[in-house]
Amino acid sequence: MDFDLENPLGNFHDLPCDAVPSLFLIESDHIPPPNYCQSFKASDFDISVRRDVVSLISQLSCTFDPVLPYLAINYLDRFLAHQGILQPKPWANKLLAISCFSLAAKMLKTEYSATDVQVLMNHGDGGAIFEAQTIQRMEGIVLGALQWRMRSITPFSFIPFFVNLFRLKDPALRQVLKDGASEIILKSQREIKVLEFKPSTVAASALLYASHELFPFQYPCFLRAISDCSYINKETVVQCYNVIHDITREEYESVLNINSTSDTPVNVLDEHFLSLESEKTNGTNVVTQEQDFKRRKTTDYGNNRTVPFSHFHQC
Amino acid sequence: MWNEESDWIGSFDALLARLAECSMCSRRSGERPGAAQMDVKILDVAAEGGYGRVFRCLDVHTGALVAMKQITMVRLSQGIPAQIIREVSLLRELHHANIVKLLRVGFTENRYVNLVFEHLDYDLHQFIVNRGYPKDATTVKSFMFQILSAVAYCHSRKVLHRDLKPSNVLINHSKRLIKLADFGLAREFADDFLYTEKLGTSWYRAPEILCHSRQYSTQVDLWSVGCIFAEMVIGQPLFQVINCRDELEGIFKLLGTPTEETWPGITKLMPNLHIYCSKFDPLGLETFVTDLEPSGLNLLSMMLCLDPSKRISAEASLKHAYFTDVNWI
Repeated sequence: MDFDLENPLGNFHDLPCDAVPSLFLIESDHIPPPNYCQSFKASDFDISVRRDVVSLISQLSCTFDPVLPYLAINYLDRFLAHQGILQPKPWANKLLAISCFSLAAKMLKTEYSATDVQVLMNHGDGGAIFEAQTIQRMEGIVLGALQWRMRSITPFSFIPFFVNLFRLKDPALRQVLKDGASEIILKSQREIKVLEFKPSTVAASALLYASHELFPFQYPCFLRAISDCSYINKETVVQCYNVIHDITREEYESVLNINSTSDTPVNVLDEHFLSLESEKTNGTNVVTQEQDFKRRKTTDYGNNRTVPFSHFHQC
Repeated sequence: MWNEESDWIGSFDALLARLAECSMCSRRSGERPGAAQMDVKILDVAAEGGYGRVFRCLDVHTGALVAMKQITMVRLSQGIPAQIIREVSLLRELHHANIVKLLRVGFTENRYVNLVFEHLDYDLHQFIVNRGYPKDATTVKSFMFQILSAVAYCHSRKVLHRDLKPSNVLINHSKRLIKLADFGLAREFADDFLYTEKLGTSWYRAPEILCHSRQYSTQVDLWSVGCIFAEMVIGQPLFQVINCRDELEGIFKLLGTPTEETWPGITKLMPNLHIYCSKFDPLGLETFVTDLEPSGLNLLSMMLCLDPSKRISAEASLKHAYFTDVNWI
């Protein structure tokens, strides 16, 4: 038995048609229940402790594929949703972080050094060294809480599907878009509010956000492709896009230590939906489109990426 | 620190004990590890192998017969083995009428993972050996349709079985219901066991696996299904009938030695193909698989196709003319 966990929709065109809806149908089984976010909002302590455990997992995973930390954090959230407890003891949170990381590594067949994990976890801390049996026992507890359903459907699972909808022909451009979206997905997962959305919604919003930054002139075509997808709820994508936008802007501003309000419209996605509606009503509205292009602020997303204009493809 | 740690973990155990309603991994602290922990009463040992044992049990809640597979864990320095986590996790995602259902998972620390499955009366191997193979065409067709339905479901979810054979096809006697089982569970722990039965298992292995290709895919399962199909018709393993020193020789003897025209890429895959060159003209499936209607033979030939890229898929098989015969529906 074998399966491609990272890319269950890989070679999308080779799959029978019923495989796509099945992934959209079952994705809700792999995320924390809806009331999980509300329970966190009630307690600042829990939010900060979750952030600490997420940070531990990120340290453990920094040299691995981004799916690994995402999967581990998904286990963490599902476990906390099930148990309803966060421990004030730092060593307990470390044990939980190690166990979630270890389980994710096993699911992804990723080899890692237990010694490296121990060294990293003990850095700046005279505290516990966990025996293999202790980690195993904690793994068993997490497995039980998650009912051994460790094949989580993550936003990464949906990226190839949506990228195919965009019809970018150049493989290099597709990879740039995928990488940008992956970065956004990982950063977003650190914040509780993104957990309210389904993985497919997060994937669609992250891709739209990345395409807005990287391919602003193609953005309206991508937006239309996402809007036309029958498995996606447009309103939810708008909400998720705005959450992602806020998270990304907060991080951007914290790095630059800027306190000014954002120049970019908060509801940029709303504006583009309105723009599309306007086009449908009035036919082609060249003036509006041109103004949109001029007004839009282009930001390099951490990289100096130049894209040859000749590679663009009109929908 | 040790006490603190122990208390903390113990508190989670206590929490889990409150989830008595939970059908997964229900545990009660202080209770003896083993069958009681899994809410089953052991009746007898149904099978034994290098991986562990299979017990026939009664579910204490429902009174139903269940099968508990007990897998011995090894390499505990890395915690619960990755292979077990992956396989169980995958089984938890498979919901199909023709796939055996995993009811419960539990693990006793330092020793076993216990998997409780629904129980079926016997497997197809036993059916063929003890009761005479399904002589009537209706039963063969019904069994084939159910097997292919399960395989198509798995493949639509990018899941391969890779070890399909009659002993992994379970049968509910009264309903004539088929369920696939043993999705590679514990393979990593059963290498020695498999080797002792190498001849048995390799009768159902696709040629691209026998060539040690690392780039195989869903087509390997269709080859195995084809072998099962033939076996139901003739009453014994197809490639046992063709008595050869190795399985590839048997395959080529039956279907002809492949060439670059019949199987593009074969000379790279098998540099030593010249050993078989011009040695065999195909005997043909019809030589051995008699008493199968023409459309069935046609379907079988598309399953037992040497070139994996030309082999029929499970989904396409279900639409084949062999299954459109209204007489069996």
